Amino acid sequence: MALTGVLRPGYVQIRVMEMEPALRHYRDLVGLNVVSTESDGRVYLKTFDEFDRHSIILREADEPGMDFMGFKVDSTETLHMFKQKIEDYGISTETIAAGDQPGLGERVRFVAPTGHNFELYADIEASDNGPMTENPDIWEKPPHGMSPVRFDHCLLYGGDIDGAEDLFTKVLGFRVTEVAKAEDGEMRIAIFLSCSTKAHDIALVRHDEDNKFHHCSFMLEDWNAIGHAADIMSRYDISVDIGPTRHGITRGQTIYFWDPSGNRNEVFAGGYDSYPDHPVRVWSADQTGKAIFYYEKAINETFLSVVT
Amino acid sequence: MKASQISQGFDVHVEHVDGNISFFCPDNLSILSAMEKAGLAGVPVGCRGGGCGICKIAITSGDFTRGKMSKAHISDEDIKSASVSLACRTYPLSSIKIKPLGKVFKKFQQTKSSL
Repeated sequence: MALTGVLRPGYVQIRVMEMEPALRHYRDLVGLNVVSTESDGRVYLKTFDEFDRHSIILREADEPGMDFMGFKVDSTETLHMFKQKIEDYGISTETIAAGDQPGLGERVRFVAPTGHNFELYADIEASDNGPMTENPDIWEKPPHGMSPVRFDHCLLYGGDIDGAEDLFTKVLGFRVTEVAKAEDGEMRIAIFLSCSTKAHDIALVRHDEDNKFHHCSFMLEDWNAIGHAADIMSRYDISVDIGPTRHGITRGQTIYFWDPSGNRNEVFAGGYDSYPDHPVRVWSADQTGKAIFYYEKAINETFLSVVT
Repeated sequence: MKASQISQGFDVHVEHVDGNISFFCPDNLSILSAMEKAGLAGVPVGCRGGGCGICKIAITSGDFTRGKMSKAHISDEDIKSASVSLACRTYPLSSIKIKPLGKVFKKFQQTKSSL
């Protein structure tokens, strides 16, 4: 197996201020399927095409944002190995026993230098509503809403993104695929990291406040699906940030929009594949507009300032 | 035009450093939505969901009701004092005067150390 260690982003828990409008957004319009609603009020959802039990967790709270993001690793041995490596690196970890969250095995939680809570886990129940595996049709039932294929990545804002890069690359086996630099030509203002052959599995932007959430992203099938998502956003008056457009960084075709609590979502399609032997792609400060929004060639004001 | 077709609402006056603006805010629209629908700017527009705090305003006079807003930006005390709110979740109940308070958008060109 060539892909080992951390396999992929598996789930993200998002705080919403009111559950009903959030469900209308994530379930009816984005098009996720509800897996379960637990006694503490949390709602677990997934896309039609994910094998694992859930990928998006909504929790009602007084302020929006991200509680934690989880990465799936290839085995329990690897999970314990990473726990030791993170501890050896100087960051404390907390082990959360299996069953604390529905369907989820043992988790190792730690706080990254940017202040964000991350979790690693190896075991999660398989979905009873996952993709077909025998003579598999493309789907069992037609997907609804924006037809997201998978929860793909998050972009997070925080102070010490260099520290987070160090942790993710030296300890967790990620590699940097692309960076945007400040005017001094040295300082990194945005870092894109992959643990797979995706262009990014997590992205970090330097910000004056720690533990901020910029967006969680859903992969759609193609550019036509992005157009259909845009139609849904207009029809149902979803608050749109920018798009449809394309990122220079990762080359993804994209729309940014907000959930009813002000958490940004992205739907995207396309983008390049990355491999461990590929060089890092670098954007200089004078090209940052094109790096972020390739067609507009300028950053919109909200990209910089609006986070939860 | 029939009376029932005349939309009900209240006037909003925005005190702004670049000059005051006024617009009509129909019932059931937030101050921010009414401003956007009128094609005006003045209060910065962010997430439109009460989450990001960009559209924070001081209410200098007038009555209003409001929807749910992030505690990170509007505290319980702010709710009690009824003088600070987020324009995207504020619905006038009378003619109202407001002043934008949110952090000013950073202009990328002027930013050296952060994106």
